[in-house]
Amino acid sequence: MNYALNDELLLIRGKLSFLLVAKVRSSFGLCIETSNDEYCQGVDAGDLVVVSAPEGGAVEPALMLTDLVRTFHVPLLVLPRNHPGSRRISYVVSVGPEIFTSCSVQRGTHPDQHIICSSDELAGLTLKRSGKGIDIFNLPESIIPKHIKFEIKTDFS
Amino acid sequence: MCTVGGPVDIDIPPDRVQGKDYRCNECGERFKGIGKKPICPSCQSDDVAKA
Repeated sequence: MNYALNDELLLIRGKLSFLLVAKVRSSFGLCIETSNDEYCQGVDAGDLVVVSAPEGGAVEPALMLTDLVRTFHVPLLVLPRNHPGSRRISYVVSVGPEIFTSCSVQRGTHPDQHIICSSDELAGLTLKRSGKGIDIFNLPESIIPKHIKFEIKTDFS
Repeated sequence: MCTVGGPVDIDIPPDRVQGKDYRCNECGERFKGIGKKPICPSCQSDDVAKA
């Protein structure tokens, strides 16, 4: 099913977890830092930034993470396999034109951007960029995505 | 819930990511690129060539 999406974000909320989806505004080189190397992936305007909170929690950190990547182009950090910190990661991020959700990946340890860790209730989804929004496949009928707006405002006066 | 170290894990370890070496023609930055359309992480130019 296609959902319109411009500069706002799309919240896909299950009973226990959620995904937050936004579109990249302009092309940039996304750096992915692993324990022993750095990889740079070209990201196009219209590609997706997806934040997953497999155990739920507040939406605000996910909003900030989304903007850190799509606006400020902050690199993504990848933990080594079996790193003890993996179990403490509450939010994970993937960026690309098409992203699959899976509950069978070790959180925060895979540099491949086409797959993102999710809870089992949101596993098996495909999120794909489309001209005027995004296509979401395999979304349970009980889950209705919701558009939300988010803007960082600062006042240095 | 998402596994965090259990037996089911379709994870791809970082050392299996195959990056190609690129050099930016705009700023000279060298980087390891992945994906179909590499972009320089320093100056954001797509004028890059395999090094």
